[in-house]
Amino acid sequence: MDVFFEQYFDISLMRENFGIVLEGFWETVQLALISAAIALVWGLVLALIRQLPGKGTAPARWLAIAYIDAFRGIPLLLVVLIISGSFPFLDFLPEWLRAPTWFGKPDIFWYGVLAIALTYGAYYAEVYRAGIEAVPHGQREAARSLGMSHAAEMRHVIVPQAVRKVIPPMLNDFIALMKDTSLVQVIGVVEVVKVGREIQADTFNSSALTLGAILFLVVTIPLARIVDRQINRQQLRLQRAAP
Amino acid sequence: MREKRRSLLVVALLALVCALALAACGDDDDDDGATQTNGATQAQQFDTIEAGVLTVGSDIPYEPFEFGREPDYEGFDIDMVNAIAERLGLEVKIVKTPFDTIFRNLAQGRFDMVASATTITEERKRTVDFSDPYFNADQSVVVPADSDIQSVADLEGEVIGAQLGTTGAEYAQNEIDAADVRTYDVVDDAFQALQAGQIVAAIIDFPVAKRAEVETGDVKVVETIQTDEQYGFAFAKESTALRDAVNRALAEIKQDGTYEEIFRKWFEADPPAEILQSGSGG
Repeated sequence: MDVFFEQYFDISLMRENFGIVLEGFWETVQLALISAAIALVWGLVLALIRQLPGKGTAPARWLAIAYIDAFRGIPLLLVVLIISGSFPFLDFLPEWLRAPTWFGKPDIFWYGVLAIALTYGAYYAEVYRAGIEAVPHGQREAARSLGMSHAAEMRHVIVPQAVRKVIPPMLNDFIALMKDTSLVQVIGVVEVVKVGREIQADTFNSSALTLGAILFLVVTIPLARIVDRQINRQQLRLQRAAP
Repeated sequence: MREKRRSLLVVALLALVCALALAACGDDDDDDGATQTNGATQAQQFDTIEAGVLTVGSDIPYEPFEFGREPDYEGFDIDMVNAIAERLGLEVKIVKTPFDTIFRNLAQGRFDMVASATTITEERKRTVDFSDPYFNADQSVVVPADSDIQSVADLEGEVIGAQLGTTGAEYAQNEIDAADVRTYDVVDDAFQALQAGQIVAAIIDFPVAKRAEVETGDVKVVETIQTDEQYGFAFAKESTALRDAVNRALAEIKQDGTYEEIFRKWFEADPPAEILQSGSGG
C-alpha cells in the first residue's frame, strides 16, 4: 500500500512538475472549448437538417441521419487516427487546410479538434433533436396558424425553447468531451494526460497522472453542480407551470 | 410497470453474470513460482512467476529485435531469450507490453525479465537491475527518404519525434535544440509521423532505423549519434538469483559461438569483440 502512495501521491514530484502539468491542462482546455464551440453549431445544423419538412428534402434528412449514426457508432479514437493518418495525403486540399497551423497551433491540434467536433456534433444533434421534439406540439400549431414558414417557426419559436430545455444534457456532453480530448495524445498532442505519461516515463513515478486527474476534477465537479442546479431550476419551473 | 422493471433487472443481472463468466474463463496462470531445479545445465535455484516458464516482457514490434505476430515472435532479442531459457531449462512466454511502463511493470512483478532492446542507464538501475551487456547500440537521425536534412545540426528549431520512454527521446529532449519533441507510444507511429510530414526527423536506435531503411526505403538514416549505449536484459531488484543465472547462460552463449550465430543471422556482420568479452557470468 505504501508503494501505491509513493507511486501516485508523491507530493514533491507533483509540486516540481505542477507548471508543466498545468500547461498540458491548458492545452486540454483549449482543445475542449474550441471543439465544443464547433460541435455546438454543427450539431444544431445537423438537427435542423433532420427536421426539414417535405418529400424533396428526404435525401438531406437521410444523410444527416447516416452521419449521426456513423459518428455516434465509431470510437472517437478511430476518428482521430483516420483523420490524422489521411489528411497529409489528401492532395486535393490546399496546404492551409491539409496541414493547418492556425493561431500557432500545430496541424495535429486541428486534426484533434476536427475529430472531436465531428463526433460530438453527432451527439449534440441528438440532444437538440430531443429538445426540439419536447417542445409542445401546440407551439407548432400556433406558429402555423400565424402563417409562419418552417424556417421562421424554427428560428423564433421552436429552437429557443428547445435549447433552454437541453442545457443540462449539453453540459454533461461537454464534460464528456473535455475528458475525451485526452485521446488526441496518440497523434502527438501533448495534453494533460500525455504530460503525465511523459513525466512517468522519465521519473518512473505516476504522480503527475494523479495531478492531472485533480485538475480535471477542479473543472468537472463545479460543472456537474451547475448541471444539477439547472435541472432543479427547470423542475421548479415545470412544477409552477403545471395546472 | 412492475413487470417491465423486473424484466429489465433480470436482463441486467444476466449480462453481468455473462461478463463475469467470460472474465473467469480468461487466462488464469498466476501460480506462485516454485523453486525449480529443472535439470538445467547449472543446478541453480531461482523463482519465476510461473514454474518452469520464463515470462519475458517486450515491446513488440521493434524490428529487428522483436517483431512478428503471436505466437511466432522473431528477432534478435527473441533468439537470445530462447537460447538463454534453453540453458536454464525453462520455457519462454513473451508478453507484449508498452515500452513507457515496461520497467515499472517489471518491478511490480508482471514478468521475470524484460528483453526489449533496453539500454542500461543509471536512472533505470534505480528501479530495475540489468544483466551483463549483450548489444552495443547508438542512436540515429532518421528522416524521410527525400529529405534534405543531413545531420543533427539541421534539426535546430525543427519538430522531431522519438518513442516515449526511450533513450532516443531523452537525447532528443536534452541534447537537441528542437522546436518540439513529439513522443509516440510505439516506434512505428514515429515512422508514420515521419512519412506524413508531421515531424522532420526521428531519433531512434540505429539498428532499428537502419532496418526500416533497408526494409521499406521510405526513410533513411542520415547520421549515427554515438552514444555508446549497451542493451541489457532487465530484472526486478529481488530477482538476483535469476539474474545471476541469466548472466551465466549469457556468458556461455557468448563463448560457445551461439551469440555469433544469432548476431550474424540478424546483422550479417561479426559481433563486436567488446560484447563477446563483457560480463563475468555472475
